[in-house]
Amino acid sequence: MAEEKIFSEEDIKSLKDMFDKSLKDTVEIDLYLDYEKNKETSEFAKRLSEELIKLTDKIKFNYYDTKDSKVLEDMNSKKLLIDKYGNRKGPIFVFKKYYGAIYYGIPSGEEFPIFLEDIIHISNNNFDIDGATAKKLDSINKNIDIYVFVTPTCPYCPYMTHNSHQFAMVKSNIRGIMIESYEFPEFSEHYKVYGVPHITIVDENSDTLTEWEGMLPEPEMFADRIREAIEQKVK
Amino acid sequence: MELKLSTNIIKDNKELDKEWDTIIIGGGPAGYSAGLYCGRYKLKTLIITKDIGGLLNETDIIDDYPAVENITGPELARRFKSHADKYNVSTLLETVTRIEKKDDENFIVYTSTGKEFISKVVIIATGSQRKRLGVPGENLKGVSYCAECDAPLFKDKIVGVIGGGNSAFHDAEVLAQHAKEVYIIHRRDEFKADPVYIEELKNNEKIKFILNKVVSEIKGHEKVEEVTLQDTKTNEKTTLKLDGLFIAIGLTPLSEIVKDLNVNTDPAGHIIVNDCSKTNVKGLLAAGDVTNQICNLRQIVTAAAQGTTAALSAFLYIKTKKW
Ligand SMILES: Cc1cc2nc3c(=O)[nH]c(=O)nc-3n(C[C@H](O)[C@H](O)[C@H](O)COP(=O)(O)OP(=O)(O)OC[C@H]3O[C@@H](n4cnc5c(N)ncnc54)[C@H](O)[C@@H]3O)c2cc1C
Repeated sequence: MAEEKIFSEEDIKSLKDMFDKSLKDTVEIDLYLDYEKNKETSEFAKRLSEELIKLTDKIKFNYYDTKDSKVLEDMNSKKLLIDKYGNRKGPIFVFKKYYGAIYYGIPSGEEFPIFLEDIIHISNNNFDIDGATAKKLDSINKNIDIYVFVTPTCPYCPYMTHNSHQFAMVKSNIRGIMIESYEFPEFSEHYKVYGVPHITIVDENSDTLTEWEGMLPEPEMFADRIREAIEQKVK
Repeated sequence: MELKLSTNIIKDNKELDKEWDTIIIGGGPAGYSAGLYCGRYKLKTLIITKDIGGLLNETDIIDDYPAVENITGPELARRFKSHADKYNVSTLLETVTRIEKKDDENFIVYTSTGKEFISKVVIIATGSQRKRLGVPGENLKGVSYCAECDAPLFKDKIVGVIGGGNSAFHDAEVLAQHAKEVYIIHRRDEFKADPVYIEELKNNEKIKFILNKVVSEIKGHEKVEEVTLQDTKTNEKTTLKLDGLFIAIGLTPLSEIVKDLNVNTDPAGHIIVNDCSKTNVKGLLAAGDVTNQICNLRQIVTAAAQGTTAALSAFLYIKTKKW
């Protein structure tokens, strides 16, 4: 039996429309698939990507099977194997041009529009960062990861994914990593995620600098929190 | 797996003017209805809000907003905003920290990042937030006020919901889609929730009812592990093992930001307004859950209705200078 399509005819029409109107440069996405530990979601991620590329020639996916040792080596060198607790290696979406804007798990439910927005921003080479926030981000020079733990139904989570990804796009030392909590349960358990959005900021040694639960709508204040956490650590 | 296609949260980052005809604080149904009408009245309007949609975001399916059957909360929120956008209403995603009178005819509105705006009229549409339970252990991880957000984190777990109204029943229903067992803990043996809801949930095998009991303590090391239940008749105490606890015991109006303006409020903190959404302060209007209005029926349709009367009052006041 043929698998049911992810997008309805109506979805396809509006996505096509959106892509035609708003995509300029081609956006390349590396998609890491873990058929051992996250089979179902990896298969879904693959199907999702295949349906998307049918709608536009401006989105390209490169597929990597995490069973392959060369792929693992590459992931290791790119510091993509962050789930040391559940050892789940996919599905992970990484934008080739801005490798700091990352989705651990499918950007599903409320997160999908942010994934689309990321694609549009990258394709047009423009970002959603105001002057005051840019100034604050400029003073962050340490390598940090922002883990944004989410669930698909969380309406407040996309605000945090969006801002962390915009930060990652304008500052190469910052990675914004959305993590679908239920696809990475051991990792989420390790960081004690019992409410979302849950934000954990870690340094390059994976030491936690700060964490909190809840949305922060203002990117400027989000940047402040990161700065403060780094300063605290230095002290 | 469901994928949404559109969002409201992307900002356009254009520099905002400092002076406005109307500033609306809050982006729920009251705020965006007021915005839509202000836009149609050609008032230069800015909505400052922490999020788009307010409590709509915490509702999965809405089936009591007339003429719109079976819609998700976030989708209805998107429609509220895009309808107002059509009339050139601007939105700023920030928190308002303070409002003060600049002079007899203008207010100054301050935001969390230090921005200041001047406006002839201010409409408060800040809604409400869930009440805290006020018992030891409430700060433990696993205590939640948003079932919509956190339910997927409790897959195959045992959770409790405290409350007996529509919100509690809503939470229990959402949680039952993920959890193994859901206990509705209520201090009475009757519920305030709509009869249609009660009937539905009584037939849900995962949902169990614990009546005439209050939670007097939440215990756990790093997260919720158990609660102490106290019988409201006998005072007898028992314990119940839980992985998560959702609190739905009512709402508190968010009227703190107008404290310095000497606005009349009721004892619970609702801003007192008349039928036209006017407060006792000239130029200051309020609409939706934050007010004392419309028979205490705090719903989307009533919030939206009040937003429209607030907009009309704003329009007439700016035109005639009469309050
Ligand atoms: C679980 C649940 C289910 C519900 N289901 C239904 C239903 O099925 N049907 C129905 O009709 N009603 C339902 N309701 C009630 C309905 O959601 C509310 O009555 C309605 O949302 C009130 O609208 P409002 O605009 O007054 O306030 P809200 O929706 O609460 O919006 C207030 C807005 O103000 C913002 N805000 C607050 N303070 C500030 C500040 N200082 N600065 C900037 N912004 C601020 C908030 O972020 C928010 O955007 C439900 C409520 C809950 C909790």
